[in-house]
Amino acid sequence: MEKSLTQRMDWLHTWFGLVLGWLAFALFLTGTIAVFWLEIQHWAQPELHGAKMLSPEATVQYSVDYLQKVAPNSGRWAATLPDLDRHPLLVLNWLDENNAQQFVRLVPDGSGRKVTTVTNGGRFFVDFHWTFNREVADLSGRTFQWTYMLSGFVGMAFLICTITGLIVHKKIFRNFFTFRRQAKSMQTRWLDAHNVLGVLSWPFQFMIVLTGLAFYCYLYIPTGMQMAARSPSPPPVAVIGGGGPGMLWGRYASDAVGSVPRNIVEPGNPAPNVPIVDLFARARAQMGVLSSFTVNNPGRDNATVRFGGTRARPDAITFTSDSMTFDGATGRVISPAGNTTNAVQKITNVFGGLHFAFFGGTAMRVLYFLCGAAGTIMIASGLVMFTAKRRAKAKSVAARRFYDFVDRMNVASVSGAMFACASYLWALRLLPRDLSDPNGGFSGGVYASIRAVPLDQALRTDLELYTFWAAWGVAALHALVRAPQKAWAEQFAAVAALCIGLPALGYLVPNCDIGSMIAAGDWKMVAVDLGALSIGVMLACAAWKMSGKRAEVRASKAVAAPALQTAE
Amino acid sequence: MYLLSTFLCAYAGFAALCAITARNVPLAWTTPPSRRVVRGLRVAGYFLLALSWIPCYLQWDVPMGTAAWAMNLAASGFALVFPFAYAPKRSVQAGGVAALLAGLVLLVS
Repeated sequence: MEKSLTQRMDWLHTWFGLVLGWLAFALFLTGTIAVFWLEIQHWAQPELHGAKMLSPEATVQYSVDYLQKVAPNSGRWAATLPDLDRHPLLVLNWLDENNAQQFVRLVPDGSGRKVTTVTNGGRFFVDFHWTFNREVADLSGRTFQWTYMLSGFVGMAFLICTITGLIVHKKIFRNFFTFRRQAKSMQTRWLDAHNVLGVLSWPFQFMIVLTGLAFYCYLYIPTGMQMAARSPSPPPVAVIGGGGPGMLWGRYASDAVGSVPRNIVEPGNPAPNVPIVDLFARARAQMGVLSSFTVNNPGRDNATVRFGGTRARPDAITFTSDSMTFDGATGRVISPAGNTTNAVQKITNVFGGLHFAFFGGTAMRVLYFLCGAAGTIMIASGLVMFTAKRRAKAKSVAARRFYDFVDRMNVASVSGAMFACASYLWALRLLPRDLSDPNGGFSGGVYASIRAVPLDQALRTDLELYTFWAAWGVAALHALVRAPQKAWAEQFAAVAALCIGLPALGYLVPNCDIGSMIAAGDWKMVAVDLGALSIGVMLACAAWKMSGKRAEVRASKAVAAPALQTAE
Repeated sequence: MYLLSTFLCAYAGFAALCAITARNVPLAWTTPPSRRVVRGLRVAGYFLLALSWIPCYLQWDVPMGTAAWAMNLAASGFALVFPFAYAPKRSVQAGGVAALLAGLVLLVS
């Protein structure tokens, strides 16, 4: 008998959801955390905590003064300006007398203090979300790489699941507000939770997956890029912050130490230059928030000053790539703002803007976080429902074994991934700062990528990633050897303990305690701690419920009550 | 503050619609509502959901405001559905308070 459309879609939804749901959960979880990746980056760099930051103009003046002091005769200065609202880190670059690139990370408070904690920070969650922390050798899509192809495949499967989910869910409007928490069947409770989470946040889930896929479609369907590789490519146009034409990624990473282009014009004669801070004010009036400036031949009669607008603006959904160049000696505009972007790039920019959620401020990011969390829990509830629905009906030994395996995999993927993320945050706080490589940085490609090096040679960034993967490995082993019901409760309790303990951990590290940060008004740092704390409390409640202790307490109360009444 | 107003307004809209869903009527009402009340709540529900777009527009303008509105609908829906499973009558009655508060918050924003 031929199956109906609903039955066929049900099969697709179930099996795509199960097999790829294990990975999709981790991708959704890290994607959700990554909404606040710059805040986590700030949280992970204690030097920045509680500092009184300079205004944008004062920061530019401070940068120029610093560069004038350390490299007065340099052929090129460059600065990646801080995002004062989210991650206030100032990165200055210059070419030394041998035309070698030098850089320094500074706290933009005018004190001259350096940021020596080199960390993957929140960027880890972004990069795991699409590369599983494997380095992307070629972001132009000319070579095949399994990492982003796998995440793309999972994304495509999720997109299919969002559509098939609507088809198989027959009574969307009738059951729109239905969550039968006291239903006799465990399957009904999980189904209701899965449906409510999925239906209410459906527009978000569809949008976030579609934009994620569309943004990197040239990587997932690389034929065009491979065809283009056969033709001679145009010379790369390097800009501060990394990335070349068509590469959107590196430009808005505020911790990025971009490569300074080497094609320097011969220096002219010494001549007074227009103050850069004046040019900055003019550029900002035209382009809004600025993220970088580059000065060629500073202090010469052929000096040029280029200002880059920020890639991701708080006041527009779409990414932008505007810039403006001035003659440094006369202040004349050489290249005005308002660059031309082709139609494909414009559409990609909108997809990127929608996916990366840099717009709209903290309130918008809170909404992204909530909807992302809903998607994450929806995937977890779907995974749990798979066995809740089938286990009781399993007749053969093989079927029971398979459902047992699925149960264990569910624990390893859901609570294992959460345990790994929480452990990673502990590593960010506890790993000694002096393990950092002060010269470590990022110039193109992916920042939070894992390297295989012996432990005694590992840097802080390596150890952070090892902690994440080792924690996940331990959780997976635990899930394999422990009865699933107990493993769920124990791992949830462990994650809850790690999250609740995070604010307390700040008291062990200088300049990280939540009390002083509240006093200093550093709400970015405080919010990460309090966010972890509240998630920890929720997970602790879930662990308590899963452990069966709650049921025991209820039962003992029910037994105790009549005994007291009898005594009266 | 605009976001809070949007949230409360959407909550009120969902609460009105939730109260007249066939499955929820026995949970949310002591005596079943008349047809007129059902129709009134349906109109009020959809109207409030549409109205909740306005504070988002005032905060962010059309493109960003619409994106925020869609996500806010999900958030206010969750805020209604899960408590409704525990205290159905109160969750629905809170919708009336939420509608008033939404207006007040919008006025002071």
